[in-house]
Amino acid sequence: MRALLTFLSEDEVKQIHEASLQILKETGVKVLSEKVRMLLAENGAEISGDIVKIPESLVAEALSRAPHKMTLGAREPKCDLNIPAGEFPFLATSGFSPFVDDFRTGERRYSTSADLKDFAIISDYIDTVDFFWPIVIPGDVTPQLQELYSLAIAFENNRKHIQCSCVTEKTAQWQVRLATAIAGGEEELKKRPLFSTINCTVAPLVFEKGSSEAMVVLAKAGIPPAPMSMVLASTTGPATMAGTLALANAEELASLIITECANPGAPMIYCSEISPADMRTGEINYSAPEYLLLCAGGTQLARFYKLPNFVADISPRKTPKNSAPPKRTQVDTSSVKRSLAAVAMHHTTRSDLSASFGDLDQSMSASLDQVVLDAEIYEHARAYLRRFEVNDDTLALDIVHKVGPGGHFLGEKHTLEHFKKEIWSRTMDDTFILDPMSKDSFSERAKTKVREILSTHKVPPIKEALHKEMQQILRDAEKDILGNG
Amino acid sequence: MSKPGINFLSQDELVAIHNTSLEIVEKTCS
Repeated sequence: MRALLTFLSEDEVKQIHEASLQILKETGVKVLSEKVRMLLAENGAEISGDIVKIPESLVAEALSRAPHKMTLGAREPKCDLNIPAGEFPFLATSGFSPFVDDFRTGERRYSTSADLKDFAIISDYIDTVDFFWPIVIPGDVTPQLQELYSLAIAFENNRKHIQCSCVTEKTAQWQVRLATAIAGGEEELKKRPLFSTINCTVAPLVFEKGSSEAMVVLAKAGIPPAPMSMVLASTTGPATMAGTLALANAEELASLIITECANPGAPMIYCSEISPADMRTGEINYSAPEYLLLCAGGTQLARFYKLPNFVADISPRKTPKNSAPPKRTQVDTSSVKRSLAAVAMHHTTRSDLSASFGDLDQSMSASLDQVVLDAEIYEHARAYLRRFEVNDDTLALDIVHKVGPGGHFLGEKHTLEHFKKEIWSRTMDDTFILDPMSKDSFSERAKTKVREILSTHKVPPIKEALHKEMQQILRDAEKDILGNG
Repeated sequence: MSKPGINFLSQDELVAIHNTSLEIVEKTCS
């Protein structure tokens, strides 16, 4: 027994799948890379200008090749993640914000490499964070190098799996070089890919040159791309939920075909972050009730294909974007309880992976104390996600018979043996990460925890020789990417 | 579209619980 949120019936899943096949076959996708178009043409797609029309047979072939299981490797092997996830999803920080809310001053400012390093250290320390998204952009680094340096900073300061962004072929090549050095070889990296990537399609149905070429490089190296579909119902997708799901699913299937054509059998993560548009502003609307339902539908489609899946950004606390940075309010027990119900509901969609910790204002900003708070809330939300056994022992027929009508179960050994596992006895005061003895607000306790972690937690450093090799790779990459070598 | 729903029990689990309830009624309450 376990809670599972569903949105689509089995027949509706198939209807949406069929609609996606029609989109790929009749409408096609726009691929802005000639190299990727040629790859698809060689494999049976029909090319007309930038448009690539994909026959059903190519979809079926890609689905038959795609692995249903994968290991997301980590610098520290004990942090490896085996997909499909078990009882609980694997969770990451949010990303890739241009601002940071400085927990020391309360000010919002542009983020830097030093901020990203702090986030990596905090996320290394907190067990609730299973893998790490470079949550803020290293704004002090030249823009063309930011994705590569984000990965390097993450590797140096975090021992878990890293999921970064990658929008150019060259960045992909150098990210693979960096990870190959750490993994100890190309084959080792394929067995335990130390990073995966987010590669967004541009809805509706457009594959950018850089991002699609990066996907090919990554697939060849065995690095799983997570092509994030971000269709917005009513603007970049139909207003209807069914149409939005079909369109986003078509984008995912097209991404899978690129991946499998590049390297048959390469791993890919089905990744959707589809939501309705806010029809008053045109922005993405994470607060809409339909967002949760589209998440549930997306994971159902991924499960239909048996693909590892990632429904992104299931955040404990979303605030609408304002024209000015909103003033962050003190978080108390009652507001945490309200967040908790929403978090628990979202995670019953049962995605393998999700990213959200630390997010502020729809990923415009992030803060270290928010990472701690979100992780604290998620630990409590696990109560709703547990799996319960149904067997002769838990059905307790003998005990019911023994106690009989009108009796009670308090004196039974069976009760003693089971109640601690079956019944969640924690309250919000029984904190997991925050100091349970403190009288301060949750917000203040989170800041205290951040100070404590940053002053005491030392991430075991990468060995000196490897560190030097990584620095040389970064220098070579800089010359190559900036073209001044 | 379907109505959204949270399921807790699989079909097999529903049947197992139903059968157990029948046994309780039969053995304990008779």
